[in-house]
Amino acid sequence: MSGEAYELLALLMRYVFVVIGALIVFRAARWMLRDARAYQKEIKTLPDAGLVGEMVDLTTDRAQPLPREGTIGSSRDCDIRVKGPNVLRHHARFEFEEGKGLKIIPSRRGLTVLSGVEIRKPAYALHGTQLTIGNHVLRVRLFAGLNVPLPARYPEPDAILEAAEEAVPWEGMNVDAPYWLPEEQAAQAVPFRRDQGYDGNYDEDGQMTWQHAYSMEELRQAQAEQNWIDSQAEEEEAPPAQRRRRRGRRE
Amino acid sequence: MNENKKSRPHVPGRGTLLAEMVFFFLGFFLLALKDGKWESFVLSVAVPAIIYVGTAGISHLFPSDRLLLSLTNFLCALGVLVLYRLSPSRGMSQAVNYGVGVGCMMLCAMLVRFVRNWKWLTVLIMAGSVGLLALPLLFGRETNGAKNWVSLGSYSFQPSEVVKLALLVSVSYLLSQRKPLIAIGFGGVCLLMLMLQKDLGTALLYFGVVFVLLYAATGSIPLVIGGVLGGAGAAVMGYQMFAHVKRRVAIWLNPWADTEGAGYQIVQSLIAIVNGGAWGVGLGLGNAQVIPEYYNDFIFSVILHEFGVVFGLVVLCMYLFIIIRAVMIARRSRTVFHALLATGCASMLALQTFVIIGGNIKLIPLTGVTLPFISYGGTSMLCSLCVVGLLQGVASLAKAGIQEDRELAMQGGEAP
Amino acid sequence: MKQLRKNINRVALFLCALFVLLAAWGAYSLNTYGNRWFSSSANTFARSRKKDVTAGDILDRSGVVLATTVDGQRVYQGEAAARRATVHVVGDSGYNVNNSAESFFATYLYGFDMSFLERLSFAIRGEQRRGDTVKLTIDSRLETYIASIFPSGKAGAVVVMNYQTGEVLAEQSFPTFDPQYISASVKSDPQKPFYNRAVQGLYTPGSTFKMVTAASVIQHFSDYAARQFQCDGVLQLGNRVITDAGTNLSENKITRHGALSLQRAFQVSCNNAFAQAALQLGDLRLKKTAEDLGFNDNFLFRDLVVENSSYPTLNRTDGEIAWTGAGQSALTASPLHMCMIASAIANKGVMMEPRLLLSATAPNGTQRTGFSTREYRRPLTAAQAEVLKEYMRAVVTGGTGTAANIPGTNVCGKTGSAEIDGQEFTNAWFVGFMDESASPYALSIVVENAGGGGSVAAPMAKKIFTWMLKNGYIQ
Repeated sequence: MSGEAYELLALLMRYVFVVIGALIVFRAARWMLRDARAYQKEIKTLPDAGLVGEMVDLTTDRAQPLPREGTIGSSRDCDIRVKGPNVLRHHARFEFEEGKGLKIIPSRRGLTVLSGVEIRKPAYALHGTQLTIGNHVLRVRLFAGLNVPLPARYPEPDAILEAAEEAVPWEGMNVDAPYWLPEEQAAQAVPFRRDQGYDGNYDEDGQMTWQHAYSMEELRQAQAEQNWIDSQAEEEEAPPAQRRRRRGRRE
Repeated sequence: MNENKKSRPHVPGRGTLLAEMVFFFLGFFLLALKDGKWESFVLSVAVPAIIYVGTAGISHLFPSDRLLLSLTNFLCALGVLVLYRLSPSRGMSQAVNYGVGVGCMMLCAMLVRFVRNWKWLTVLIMAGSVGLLALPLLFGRETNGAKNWVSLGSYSFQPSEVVKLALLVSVSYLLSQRKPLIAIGFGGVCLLMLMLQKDLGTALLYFGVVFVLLYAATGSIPLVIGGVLGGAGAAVMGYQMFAHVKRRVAIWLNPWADTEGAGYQIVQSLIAIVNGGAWGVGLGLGNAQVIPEYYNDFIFSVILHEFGVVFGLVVLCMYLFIIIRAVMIARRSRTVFHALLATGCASMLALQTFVIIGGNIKLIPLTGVTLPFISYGGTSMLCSLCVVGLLQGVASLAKAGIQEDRELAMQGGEAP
Repeated sequence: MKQLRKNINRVALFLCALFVLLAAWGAYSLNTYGNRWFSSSANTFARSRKKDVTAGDILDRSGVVLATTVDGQRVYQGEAAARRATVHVVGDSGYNVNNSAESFFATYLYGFDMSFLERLSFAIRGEQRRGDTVKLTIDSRLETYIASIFPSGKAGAVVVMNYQTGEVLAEQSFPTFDPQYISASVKSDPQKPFYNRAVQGLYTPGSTFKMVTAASVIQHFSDYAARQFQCDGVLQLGNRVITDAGTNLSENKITRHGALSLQRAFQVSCNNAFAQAALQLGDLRLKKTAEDLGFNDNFLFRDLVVENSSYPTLNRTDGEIAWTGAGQSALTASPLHMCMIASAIANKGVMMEPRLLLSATAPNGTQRTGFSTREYRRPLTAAQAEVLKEYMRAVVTGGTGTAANIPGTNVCGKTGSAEIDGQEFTNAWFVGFMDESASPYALSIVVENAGGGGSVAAPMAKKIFTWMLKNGYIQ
């Protein structure tokens, strides 16, 4: 190819290159925006994305979503915010660990009490465990379906007192598994199947229920039944039933 | 929405992929018309094919982030194109580096995806990286004032590039475990060893990354002030201690004082950029070979020369999108460690790009840092792609997390 | 996690800001310094491209061809005297003169601004590409005349410009050379003929700087007209002694002016009075006025590369400040810059950006756009400029510059005799203008090592203005 002709071609092509480059940038930008929007939408349909449960402040009865890792304290930037006397700005840290539970890592200075026992080293909380931060009592609630040991039935208040009097607190109690253990022992805890979760509901008397979650087959069957019922209801032109999400909280 | 109407599921980014393939087909075809060599014709088909496999193929193998892959592949292939145009042998070996780099990227992604317990690995990595950094001090050879290369027989590499990855992983892990002092200590040791090797560009990069990670993990304002002061102090100390730093700063302040000697590089770089103008001089028509190190430090000037400033902005946008995407991945990740790791990767790529492009356009003094993905060099290419691999790993974990949430929500079902 | 995500957002903002900084700096520096980089002598790319293009012609303002291309050779036309007079503006084919039209306007001359379609049309017609024809603002006849009256054998510079539009009519440096035949002796000449003293020569402005000091006094003291300065001939400040012209301490000859008003001090160019004025003003106020008038500024004119003038900032003792007020000390300014200061006074306080490029025309006749008159800054108010104008008129009518007086024309000016260490005579300066709305021209003249400004430079100014008035420089 002659020099002059190539030169003209190359001069023309530089515009083509810029146009294609700009096109790629434009499409990539649109792609990124769409992806971000789709992600937001997905997060909305999954209000518990990234959460493992909630913490209920028993003094104020306010529930706060519980992410996989985070901090507890009075500071605005804490994930679980507890305001009150003796609560430090960054009081404790927590991390969810598969098969073990929620690891509570207390700070050096603050008073952190797990189920009536002050902790200085990291310890695991399970569903229903009471966590005392300063003067506040929080209850940890973990979602069903998580890979965590099944907690013991929550002991009655006088049972705690009795237990506290005894040298070996949990002996003789009817427990399925320890509900809090030091790190080393918790590591040996029996792993549970995924569908053997704890659904974390209360019954009419205010007692917590614990039952095995449905197996996947049962779930699909139940879903199909529900769909059938819904379609029947639609046929009857009844207003669509307002579905209550069991875990309908937003981040 | 109209899923029923489409027989095939919509693949995001198909258009982008197609545009990239067309771009490189045209680019290599143009070069082939110029030199008439059969290698160029082969490349004009082969490079788009590699891009297709590298973007669509890998995302079939591994649940990766296609957008990130797509942009990375464009930049890597652009590097191959520009290098092939300037010196065909370097272009060819860069293509090989690119292929090996994609493999390393997959390895890094797997590492992040499947390793659960980082504690001992981090200790190992820290020890290994200190050892690696000591190598050039013992058997290194000096190039361009810095002693940061190690040769193994005929093959030579830069340990500081490999240690970048180690630094990212270990500092993120230490900070996620709330051990900032150990992280600072480790960063300081690495920095000191780099200073001893006089590799100040990389030292600046390490400082920037550790500092950004510290800020992200703790968010404390005194730390920011202290970091800025410490950085300024280290810069002044480096300026006082090393003669070649003084020389570089003097060249930066006025390269026109000695256009044939000390200032030659930067002056030729600026002249090449301004010759290109807005639209460039045209692919294959430039004379960017007059810039020393055109294939390495000044490759961005070469791109501006032949493709023009507008295209340079396009490339800059691509880097920016890679950074934004990395930050998005960081925000989506579930655990502190992975979030910090992705942030570190983002800041590493961004700072490296800033430092070298800023050097090319005389915004900051020139330092011997490579432009990620584009610059010639096996270690640099491998390292950049490994950083992307780490990001891919974090992204796939976040995706898996969402999948798990979806399953959990289904398992929880409706209230009875 | 919440805090971490917030911090990550901030980090992301910081990283994005870095990229914005890159793009902004790139755009800014390319826009501001692009021309300079392009016209640098180190630009091998442009030079290699010039082989394929027939360079365009360079014309003066009246259309006289100064440089053209014949059979691929650059030819500088006209008589030898005209070639020698215009060489520092036009340049030479070997690029010995820095930033001359040949290199600074290469974008036009060598068709680097050609669009793709224009190139295509050349290719279709099978012709060699031609660059644009460039028309400069200079007048080759005026330059030839100035060269003929400049003292032979002396080095120096002359700048003539239109103070209303900023068009430079003459920009000359001496000694000069013939671009058509560059002999070896030119290259080895100790006076460096390649050096363009009009824009690159940094001279001590001497008494011409008193325009700036007087401007500062007028700006900062409302009672400037009533102020009296006492000149005792010698003023001792630390280890510096302020003396006036004609004083020779070793021969015990001392010039004394006695009590003076500011106008009288300006008229007789009394160093002692201006030293006192500078001390009364203080360094900061004087510096402020000087910087308003362009000292210490980075000159980024579109058509000209002018060396930056400097007002000293280090070692400011009282003696130094006093000498600064009288125009000595470490002050430096190019003749073009002094001409611009006179222009600002003449033009009611508005300083115009100097222009050298009148127009560029493509081979097919299209006019390139983008050349226009532009204001540089407004350092003085019209009233202040009026007062200074009166002072400068007084210099010509009854002061040091009477040799420049032309009956019937309001010539204003300021002489200067700058003392340079190691020189036998002083540098002769004259900076002035015609205060006539029909012929708005300012000039500045420097003759190195020649004597007093009033006796050497002022008569030249008179000759130049007379020639201009005779040759149609009346609008």
